[in-house]
Amino acid sequence: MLKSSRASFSLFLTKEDSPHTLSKLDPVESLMPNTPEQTIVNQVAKLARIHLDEQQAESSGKKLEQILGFVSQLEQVKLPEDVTPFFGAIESVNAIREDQLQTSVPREKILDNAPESDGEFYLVPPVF
Amino acid sequence: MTLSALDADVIVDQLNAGELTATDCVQHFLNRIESHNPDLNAFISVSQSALEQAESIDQRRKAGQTLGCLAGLPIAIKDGICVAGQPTTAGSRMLENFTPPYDATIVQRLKSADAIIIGKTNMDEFAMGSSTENSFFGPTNNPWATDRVPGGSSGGSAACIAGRLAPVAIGSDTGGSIRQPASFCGITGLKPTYGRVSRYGLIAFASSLDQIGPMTRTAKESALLMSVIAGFDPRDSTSSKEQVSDFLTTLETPLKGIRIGVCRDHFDEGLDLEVKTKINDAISVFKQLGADIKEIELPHTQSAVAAYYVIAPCEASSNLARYDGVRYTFRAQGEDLEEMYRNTRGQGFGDEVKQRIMLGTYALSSGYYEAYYLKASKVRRMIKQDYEEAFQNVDLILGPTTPTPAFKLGQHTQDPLAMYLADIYTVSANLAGIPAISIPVSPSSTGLPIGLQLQGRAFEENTLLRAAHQFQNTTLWHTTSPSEPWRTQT
Repeated sequence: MLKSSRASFSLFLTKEDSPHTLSKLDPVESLMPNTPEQTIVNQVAKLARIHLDEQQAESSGKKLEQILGFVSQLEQVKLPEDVTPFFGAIESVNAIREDQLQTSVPREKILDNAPESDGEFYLVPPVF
Repeated sequence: MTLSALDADVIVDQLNAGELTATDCVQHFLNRIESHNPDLNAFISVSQSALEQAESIDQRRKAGQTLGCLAGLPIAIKDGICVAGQPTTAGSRMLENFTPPYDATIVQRLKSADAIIIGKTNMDEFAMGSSTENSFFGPTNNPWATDRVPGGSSGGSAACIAGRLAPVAIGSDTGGSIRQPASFCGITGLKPTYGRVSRYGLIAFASSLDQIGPMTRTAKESALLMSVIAGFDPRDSTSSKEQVSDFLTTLETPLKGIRIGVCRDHFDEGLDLEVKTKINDAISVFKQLGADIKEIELPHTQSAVAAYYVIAPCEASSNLARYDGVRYTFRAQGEDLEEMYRNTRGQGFGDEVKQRIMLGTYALSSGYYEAYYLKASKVRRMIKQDYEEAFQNVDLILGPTTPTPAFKLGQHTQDPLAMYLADIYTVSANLAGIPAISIPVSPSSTGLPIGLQLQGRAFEENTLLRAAHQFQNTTLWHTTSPSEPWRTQT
């Protein structure tokens, strides 16, 4: 499901849908087919597994455009060619420890927070 | 002097000397919470066992048993930090009924020191916000003027210290969430170096930026709490093995000869003129204390907010994927698994959280990663390098914590960018991983607190605390509390 969503992810707002479409930030715009009925917000919400009603999608879309417009200033930042990205706030190395058995929180205590369980497993709606 | 006016170190001394019982102390602050929390909404929940624990400490003291260094001291904990058996909501409907089965490491350490957790404080949902208006449990009000925000995301912790509903508190800071509310509420707030304090049991927002720290009235109180909560934790793989400084003994070392950098860019456009004047006045105080003030440059910090609002949402979109209606109490029904996920996350998260998850999802998507996350991470490297170069010539960097004093409730709720710019001076420290502290200076003409930020080299919290303490030894701003009844309008 996720894979197919990603494949169609480039189906964004057309310029008619918004005065500031995200396409100007889109590095591969020319490769993307326009499908007016699929908006960026609904597409992103689908990827993020978040249900939005129509009103939420509209308001969310406006804010998303605004924020993306703001962060697009990063494009203008001139960087030395050899700069390496910094992903973590400390230059950490792999933290390893002895492989020792330790007690863990009992299953019942963990399942106490489950919305639905049978006392042994989490229960979820049908997958198929 | 009433108990509310006492510093935590004095309370601990009085408890140790038998001049005060833990029971009376806890009862005093529980009474304050009962009377004043309806006006502030600083606490989401209050501990049902605090009095019982206080009685037990009094009995152990009477029996001559050895007690921890904070024995009997009440402390408030931000509600994004797990306390076993006590509701921990992170300000979200998603975790409204969540009760952690374990303690965060800092909670365990505070309990080992015999501190008493008095309650859990209000916050922006999952720490995403700068005003505490994004809490599912309603906004917190600023005790200096209840029509104003207390800042965020640790607004409940800041407001409860300013309003004297607890003597000390703990917050967390991802982009300014300890320092910005400390500034808005006129208290002291320290974001330690990344890795200095264990994040185990802190509900994750952006794991490479999050850090837990103290929120107190004085720098000395922050040093006292740091001496308990700082240090390596095998349960947090990013916690540092760097030796922990003795935060308390270095406080009294004079500042003569200390080099303090000031970045003029941080005093330009966007900074409230009154804030600028008060920070300049504070610079004069540091000069009188013997500091050598130098101009420095941090060119890439201008892009810090933009880099932060790519990196933090990206990490959040991944961290918050765990709230799927299966494990953490809240579930909205759906026909199938997919619909259940979408309904749960649609109804369980508030607007700002959904917004940031979607922003992160978008920025990390195939075809966009390079333009957003990778570019932001490269800018992050440059910000870190700017600091490294600056700290070759100075020991501390001084500036305003926030561009304005506390804004009004509702003022920025429809304008995410205006809200994000409240973090303009604070996010860089998180991106670079360095420690920073906010302390109160002279308030505005309308009586609203103004905060000064000091930033230091990694693992040099003791220098920050020492400078803050020396400033507080010669000024009184940190000792002032809002007069009661609190002002409702400004």
